[in-house]
Amino acid sequence: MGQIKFMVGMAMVAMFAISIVGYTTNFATENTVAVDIGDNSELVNLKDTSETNLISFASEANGSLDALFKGSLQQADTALATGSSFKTINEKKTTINIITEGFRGIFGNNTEFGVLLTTLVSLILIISGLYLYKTWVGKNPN
Amino acid sequence: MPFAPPNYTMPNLSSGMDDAIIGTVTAVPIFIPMFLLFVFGVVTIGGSISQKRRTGLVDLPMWATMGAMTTLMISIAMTTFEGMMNLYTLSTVVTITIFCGFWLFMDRGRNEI
Repeated sequence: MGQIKFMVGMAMVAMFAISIVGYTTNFATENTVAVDIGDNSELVNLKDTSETNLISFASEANGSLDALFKGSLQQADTALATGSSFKTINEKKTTINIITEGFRGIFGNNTEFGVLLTTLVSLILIISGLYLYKTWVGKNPN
Repeated sequence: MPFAPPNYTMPNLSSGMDDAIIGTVTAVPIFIPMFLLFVFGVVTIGGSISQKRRTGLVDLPMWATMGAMTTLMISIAMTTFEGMMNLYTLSTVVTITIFCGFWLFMDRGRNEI
């Protein structure tokens, strides 16, 4: 999967999770309901954490883009040594939060299912690490 | 031969259909989760088969997400009635909807959403 597709996918997943939990929470707030999803603190924390991560991702992405536009390269300059233009760290946290809460919601805190969660989170960490490494070395991020 | 009384409590329709349904849900707690599973299955499986017949290809992540969102809308509407929905079922429906969305966006190519 290309890095652009991965980043877009992660951002879409975070926005989808926020919108679903937000809609359910606001419905309970505005109507007289017998069951309020706001009583489930894990889902509300997931929404708040995803919102915070997306807001910081948006500001970092804007900052990186500004630095890219306003920067300059002279002849015979060496290429960027850091991968700071293509940070995806916060999306990783958001995705890991979503997957963790999803598995806990469906399977509970059972230790037998913990191996599934650990494997999935490790896989995402490895993929994120590989993409960061590729960007650092200067290859095509797509 | 006299009619033997049933071994279960008959639904009481004197106060309306709402109470009859809630009485059924109270007596058989698995009724609402099974009904929601039925809704999810109809939308997902029915839509997939229909698409397969029309186009030859099945976009299962999209149909799973549509089924999950339909189920979520019905679950949210049910929360307005006392005794019909519980927090565990609603949380499970929300979690499954988020997972189906995760599957949908991971399945898309670069030029799609």
